[in-house]
Amino acid sequence: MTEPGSAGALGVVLVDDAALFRDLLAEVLRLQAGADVTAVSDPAGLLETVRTERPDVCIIDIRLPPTFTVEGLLAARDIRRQHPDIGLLLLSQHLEVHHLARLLQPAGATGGGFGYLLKERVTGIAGFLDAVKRVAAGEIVMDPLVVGELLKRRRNVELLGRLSVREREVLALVAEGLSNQSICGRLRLSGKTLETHIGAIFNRLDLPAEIDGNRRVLAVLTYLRGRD
Amino acid sequence: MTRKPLITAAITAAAVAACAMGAALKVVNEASLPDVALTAAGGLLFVAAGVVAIWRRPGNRTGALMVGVGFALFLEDLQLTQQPLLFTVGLALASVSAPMLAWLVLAYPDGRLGSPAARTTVAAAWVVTIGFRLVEMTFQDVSYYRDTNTNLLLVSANEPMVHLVAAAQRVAGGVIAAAILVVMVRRWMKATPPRRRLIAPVYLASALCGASGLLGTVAVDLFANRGLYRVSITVFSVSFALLPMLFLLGVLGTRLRTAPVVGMLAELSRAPTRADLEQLLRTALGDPSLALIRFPTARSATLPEGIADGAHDQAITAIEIGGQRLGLIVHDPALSDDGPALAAVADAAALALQNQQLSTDVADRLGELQQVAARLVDAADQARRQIERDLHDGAQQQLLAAALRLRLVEQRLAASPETSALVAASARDLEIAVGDLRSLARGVHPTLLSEAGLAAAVHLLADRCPIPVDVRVEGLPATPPTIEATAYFIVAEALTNVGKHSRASRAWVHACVDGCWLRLEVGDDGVGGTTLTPGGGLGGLRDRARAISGELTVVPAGAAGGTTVRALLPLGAP
Repeated sequence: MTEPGSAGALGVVLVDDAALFRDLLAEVLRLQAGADVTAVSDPAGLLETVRTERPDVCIIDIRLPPTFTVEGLLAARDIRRQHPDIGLLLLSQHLEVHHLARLLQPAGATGGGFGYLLKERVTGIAGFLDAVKRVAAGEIVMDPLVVGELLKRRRNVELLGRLSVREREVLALVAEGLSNQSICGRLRLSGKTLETHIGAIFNRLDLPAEIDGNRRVLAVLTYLRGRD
Repeated sequence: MTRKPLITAAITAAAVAACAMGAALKVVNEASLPDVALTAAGGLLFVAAGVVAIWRRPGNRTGALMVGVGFALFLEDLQLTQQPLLFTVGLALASVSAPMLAWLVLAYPDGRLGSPAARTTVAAAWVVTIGFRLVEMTFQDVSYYRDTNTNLLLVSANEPMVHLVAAAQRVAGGVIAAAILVVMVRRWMKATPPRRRLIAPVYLASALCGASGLLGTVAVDLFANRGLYRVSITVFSVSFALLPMLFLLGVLGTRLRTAPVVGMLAELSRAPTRADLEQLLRTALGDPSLALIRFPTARSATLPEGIADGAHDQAITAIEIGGQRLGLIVHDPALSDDGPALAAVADAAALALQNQQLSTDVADRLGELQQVAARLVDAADQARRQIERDLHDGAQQQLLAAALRLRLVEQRLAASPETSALVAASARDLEIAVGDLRSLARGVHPTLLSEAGLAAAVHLLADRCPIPVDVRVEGLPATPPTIEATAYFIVAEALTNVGKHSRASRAWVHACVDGCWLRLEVGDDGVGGTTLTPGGGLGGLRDRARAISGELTVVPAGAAGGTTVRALLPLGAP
C-alpha cells in the first residue's frame, strides 16, 4: 500500500451492476482488507466517485450497463487518462483475450497498477484481496486462465516449443505479473535458478534481458499477444 | 330449332314460286331475256342470302329484311298481270323494294334501325313510296296504257294530278335519299375500326347503286343521253346484284377472323402483365379501344362505375373461370355478334389472367416465406444473445454471490474443520458451475462477436485452429448482426472440420465485399470429402444462409485436393 488513504485505509471504488454480488464484495473488502469502499452500479457513477474519492484502486466489472458489453473497459481507459496513478482491476466474465490489446495500451502508459481477472477469482478471498492490494500498489496482475489461453494460441504453441516445460511454467507466472520472489515460492525454486530460467527464456524469445517489474510483464504479454 | 328447316323450306318455295310468277309475267309481256334473268337473279339472290343469314344468325333481323327485299322485288312484277285486283296491288307496290332496301341498309348490320333519325327516314320512305302511290292511283287511268288493265282505285282520271303527285314523290324521294346518305355518313364517322370493316362493302355498294341509279335517271331525263344511261344502268345492275352477297358476308363476317385469334393463343404465354394481355386482345379482336379490367380478387368482381355508365357505347364480356369472375373485356359491340368466338377469346384470356394471378400469388407467397425465414433466423439470434446475457447477468451473478458467501462461511468455521471442508467443497462446486456456465454461454453466442466484431472473432477462431490459417478479413463494413453471426458460425464450423478431418497443412479464411454481398471462403489443402448433409453442421448453416437470402456451397476435393466452403451473404437487410 504505497498510497494509503487519509485514514490509512485502502481506498476502493467498486463498480458492478449486480447488487447482491457488489454488496457482498464490498463487505468482504471492508471487513477483511479494512478498505474504505464505495460501491456504484454504472460507469457514470464510477467516474463521478473516482473524481471525488480519489481511491487507490478501482474494481471494475467489464460488463456494465447500458449495453452490457465493454462499458467497464471504456470507463477504465477514461480513468487511466484522467488519473494515471489510480490502480485498475478489471473483472471479466469471459475467457476472451481480445480485450488485452485495449488493456495493455493504457496499462503501459504509466506506472499505475493494472489487473485483469476472471470474476470468479473473488471467491478465492485471500488471493483476490492480495491482487487488489498489488494493483493498488502499482503492480500488474493477470488471470492465470487468461495467460493459459494466450499460451494455447497456435502461434504461441509453435514459438514456445523451443522452451522446456519448466521454462514455460516460469513464463506463465511472469505473464501473470508475479514477482521473482512469488515465482520462487510457487515453483519451489531458488532465486538463482529462477534467474537462469528467465535469462534463457528471454534469450530464446529475443526479449531484452535487463528489464524487470511491470515492464517485464508487459513485454511478455505483448510478445504473447502477438498481432491483435 | 326443329322449325328452322321448315321455315327455310317454306320461304324458299314461296320465293321460287314468286320468282317463277314474275319471270313468267315478264316473258308474257315480251321482256328481253337478260332483263328477266337479271331481275329474277336479283330477287332470288336476296332471298337466298337472307335465308342463309337467318340460318346462321337467327338473332339478327338482317336476314329477314334481305328476304323481304327479295320478295319486294318479285311483288313489283305483279303489275304485269291482267287480273284487276292483282294488277292494282302490283301497281301500288311498283316501287316497294325501295323502302325495303332503305330499311335493310339502315338496319345493317345489327338488324335494328337504332337511331330515331334512321327510323324516321325509313318510315318516310314507306309513306312516300306507298302512300303517294295510292294517292296517285286515284287519278291514274291506265286503260290507255294497256286496255286490258284495270286500276281498281281509280276515282277520276286526272293526268295533271298524276304528274303533280309523281313530281312530289320524286322530290320527296330525293330528300329521303339524302337523309339516308346523311345517316350512313354519320354512322361511318362514329364507327370503330372493326365496325367500319363490317359496313364498308355494303355502304360502298349501296352508294354505288344510289349514284349510278341517279346518274342513269339524270342522263335520260335531263340529257337524253342513252350511252351514259346504259353505262349507269350496268353499274347499277352489277352493284345491285352484289348487294345481297355483301349483306350476307357482312352478317356472317362479324365472325372473328381466326388467324389473329390463333396468333393470340400462341402469344398468350408471353403476356406476363395485364397490359400485355390487353394489347394481345386488341390485336386479336381488331379493336384498339378494347380495355381489359382485371379484378384484384374474386370479391371485388363488381362492375367499375365508369364502365357501367358508358355501357351503351361499349359491350362487356366477362372473363370467368370455374365460376370465378377474374375480369372484364370492355369492347366494341360489333364483336358481340360472334358470341362463340368472343367467348373462346374470353376463355383464353381467363386462363392467362388466372395464370398471372397464380404467378403473382406464388411470388408473393415465396417472398413472404423468405421474409419469415429471415425473421426466424433473426429471432433465434436475438434469443441466443438474450440467453447469453441472462446467463451472465442472472445465473452467473447468483452463483458467484453464493460461492463468495460460502467462502465467508468457510472462513468463520475454522473451529469446525469438517463443516468447513464441506462448505469449501460446496463453494468449489459452485465455482465449477460458474466456469461451466461461461463455456455454455460462449457456445450459445460468442460475446467476442458483439464486442469486437467479425474480423476479431475470425482471428480468434483461426488462432484456436491446430493448423496455420491465413486470415484476410480486414476492411469489412459494419454488417447486420444476423449476417455477422451467420458468417461467424460458418467460419467456426468450417475451421472445426479442417481441424478434425482434413489432415490439411494449411487453411485460409478470406472475406471481402462484392457489391452488396459478403463473400466468404474457408479453404484447406487437406483430403477433402466434406459434404453437405441435411441437418449436418454445414447443411444447417446452408439452411441458415438461404433463410437470409444467401447461399453456401462446398467445393469438394479436386485434383489438387482440399475443401473449399464458399458463402455469399447479403449485406443489406434480407
